[in-house]
Amino acid sequence: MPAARLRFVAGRLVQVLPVLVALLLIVVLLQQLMPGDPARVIAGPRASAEQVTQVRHDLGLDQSILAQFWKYVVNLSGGDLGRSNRTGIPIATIVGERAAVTVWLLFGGLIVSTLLAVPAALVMALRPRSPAARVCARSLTVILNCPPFWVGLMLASVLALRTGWLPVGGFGENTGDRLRSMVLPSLTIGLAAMPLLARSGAASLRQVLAADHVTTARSLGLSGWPLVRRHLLRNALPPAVTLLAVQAAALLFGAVIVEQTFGLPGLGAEMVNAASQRDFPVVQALTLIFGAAIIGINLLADLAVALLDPRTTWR
Amino acid sequence: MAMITPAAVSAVTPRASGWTRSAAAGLLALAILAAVLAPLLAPADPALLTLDQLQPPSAAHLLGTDALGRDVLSRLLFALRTDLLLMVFAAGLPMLAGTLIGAVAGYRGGVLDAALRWVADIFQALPVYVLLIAFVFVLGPGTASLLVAFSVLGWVVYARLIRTEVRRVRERDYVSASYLLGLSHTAVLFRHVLPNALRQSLVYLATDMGMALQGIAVLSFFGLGVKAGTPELGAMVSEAQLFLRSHWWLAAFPGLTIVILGSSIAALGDRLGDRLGGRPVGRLSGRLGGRLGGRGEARG
Amino acid sequence: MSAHPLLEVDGLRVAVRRDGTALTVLDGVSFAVGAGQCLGIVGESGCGKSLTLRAAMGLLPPGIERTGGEIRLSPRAGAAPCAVPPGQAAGRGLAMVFQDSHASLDPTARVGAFIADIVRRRTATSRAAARRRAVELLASVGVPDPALRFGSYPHELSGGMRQRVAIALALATDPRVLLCDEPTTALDVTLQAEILRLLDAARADRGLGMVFVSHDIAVIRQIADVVAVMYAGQIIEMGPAPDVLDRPRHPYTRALIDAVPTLDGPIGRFRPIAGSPPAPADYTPACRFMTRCAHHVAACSGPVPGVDGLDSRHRSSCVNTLEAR
Repeated sequence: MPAARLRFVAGRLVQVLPVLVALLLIVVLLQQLMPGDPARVIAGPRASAEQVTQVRHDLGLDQSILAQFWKYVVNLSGGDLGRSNRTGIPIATIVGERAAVTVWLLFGGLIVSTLLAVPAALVMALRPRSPAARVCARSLTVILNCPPFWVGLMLASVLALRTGWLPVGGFGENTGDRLRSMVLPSLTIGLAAMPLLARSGAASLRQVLAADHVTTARSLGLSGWPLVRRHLLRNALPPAVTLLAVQAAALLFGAVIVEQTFGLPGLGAEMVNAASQRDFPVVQALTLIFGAAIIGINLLADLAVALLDPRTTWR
Repeated sequence: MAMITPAAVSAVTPRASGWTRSAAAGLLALAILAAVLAPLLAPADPALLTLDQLQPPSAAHLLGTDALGRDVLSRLLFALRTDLLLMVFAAGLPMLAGTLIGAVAGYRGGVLDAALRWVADIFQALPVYVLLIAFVFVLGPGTASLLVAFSVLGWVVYARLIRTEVRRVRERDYVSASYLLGLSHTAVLFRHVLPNALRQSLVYLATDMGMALQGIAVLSFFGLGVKAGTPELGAMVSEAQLFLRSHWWLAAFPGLTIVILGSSIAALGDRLGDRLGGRPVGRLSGRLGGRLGGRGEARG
Repeated sequence: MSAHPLLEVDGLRVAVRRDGTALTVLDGVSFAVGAGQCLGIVGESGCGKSLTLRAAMGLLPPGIERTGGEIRLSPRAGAAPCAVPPGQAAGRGLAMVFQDSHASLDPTARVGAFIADIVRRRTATSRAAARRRAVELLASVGVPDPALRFGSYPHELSGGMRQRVAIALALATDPRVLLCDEPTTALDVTLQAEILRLLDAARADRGLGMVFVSHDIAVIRQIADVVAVMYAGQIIEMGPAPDVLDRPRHPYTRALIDAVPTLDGPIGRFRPIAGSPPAPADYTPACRFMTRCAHHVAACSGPVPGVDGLDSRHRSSCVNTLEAR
């Protein structure tokens, strides 16, 4: 039923549209919330009145909000995200240079959090009343309440400063150095995202394990790996995909924090630097990119879940 | 299945034992007490600059001094004050706003309710944390913009929760009975509907407080939160960054304080959730539950 | 019927563990089933009927465990039953059909492939042979167009068809005894009759032993040769179906039968039982029906004898049996 599936995908895209429009609106309207005159802020305190007017005109700030919104959308569709206030470099160029670091960092964080969360989730789901499960549950509460920037600093203090095994910060010149400089940030992000993954993973695993159809399969003499492979994994896959997508938001926020803490030249560090130096266009563009990425990942996860579940009716 | 008893099900989830809860309650009470009594307890003025810079812990300065020669213990006590106060407001204001909006929309129903649901759907799909940074940036650093940003982004969960409860309770007989007795709309809302609906929000509030605490610390760490110089746990970690090699404790203690505070609140939130019969969920996990529960419209 | 029973459940005890204490919910349940015989277990919900079947299969949910008794299963036709460790009998002589066919079939498994998979696990035949066998099984349980239905997912089938698939799955393990946990309760009356006929035919054709659990006396009357009545975790009366259902000895059995309105019975015989069964925490060695019983005497408060159901003589745990009065 490829036609029905296409319709389904199209329907999902239509559903996401209002969210994307809302994100765009927020991003454009953010400027209106800025206290004072944005043109004055951008032109700088020493600029003359004419210069400020010029800046206002250049940025389209003298037009209506709707016109500004439309202009932003038109520019966006042409791949133009605006220019940085500080450097004048097109933001699209900045994103192009820095996106790779963030993507690699997210990937590293995903690996770490999965490696940490899966055993914890398994213990909590399979042996819920064991001492190990209790230790896991308590530890997760504590880890969830550890601020990632602090964890990063503490890890750096122990694993880098004291031993010299790993670089404290920055981004190396060659691949080996770069990989090494990713280790601590990945650990930090992974730790930050892991409690949520472990808890939800344990919950959905318990749900799958307690499902009546698993009892049926066991009543037919299935156990061990055949049971897991044929009946548990297929059913656990859709929640797992959903979990990965939900984790994306947590990982991304972790990346923003961790890049800054470790001085990695990624998009997150760029956003924080831009924010503290009042570089509005950059904050605007990165908010949009991060937001769209999270919305997109969730959309993809929804579609994947629909594909994985035979009960989907493609309406 | 009929044969799985409630006892068996509740035994499946590991819970904080009495010991953990008592410890959490004790630590939190201690933190609140220290925060309230900070001016009395602090051995020195937290803003007093001295020439005794970066002193290690000693009898004179139990936690040493920072790069500007300020007494770290005193700063920590006052930072507790800042963070606890901000946390209460950063978690409480969204609840207040959400409760009011949700109650009105749920009680009136119709277009207002439909609009709320539409807005809530969109809000829940937006990346909260990224927007938090953007909002605080735009509004400029400072506590006021922190609280506005938290409120603007956090009200939705409460509004949706209260709205659902209000709609449910509204259908019940005793509310219509009150109508017959001639009570006004607002009287019905405040006397009968809200007390029922608020119980669930409280469970959310407990988990949100931990998240708010971290949010405040993170933003202050980046210099986007409290004004520079204000004693605040995240800002203290940030100030200590440069001296990590020689003075690790400067960064360790404020961070540890955040961890202990957050974990204690979370443990007590679990307890509250147990007592009120709800599951403790935060913004993220609440959203997750929604996504995992409904496989969306795709389901046949 | 051969001399030896196929399945013996002897003194089965099951407890719920909670905070270090064990709460006994099944208390010395004993029965035996022979080849071609159907034992019906009847009782209110919560009395432990389903739990008995799950314990026999070794499929107790976490937190609930067997604390005593023995499950004995005949290893082959004509052989004396021997003890099996928990969980070892599932799919190896014992099979089970569940109440809710919607929840009890894996939503991600195509029904035919699932059956073929089970066949292959038992007999190690080729894929093609297993597939043929699966189609045969589907046909034998009355699934129309079995070759077409082979690739269906459970949600694509009707409730009655799903229950047929569930029976085919159970039969794919070549069981000697089939345990049925209210397999017709979720179905409407016409489907109920069809499934009952199907199970009855399977029993007759294959010489299966069958344990059929239901809260519905009419269904039990239709299918069972021997009836056991359960109340509060114990069998309180057992014997040949006509004896138990027409000449009950235990006041509870009497009350259970009277609680069903009948079309042909005298008007006004429908009497619900007052009160509710005790919670497991309140189980005592005394008669557990005493507080709801109109006929209780002093001896009811003392320890009452359990019903040893390993042979099929009619007996009850009531110390003041209706027949004796």
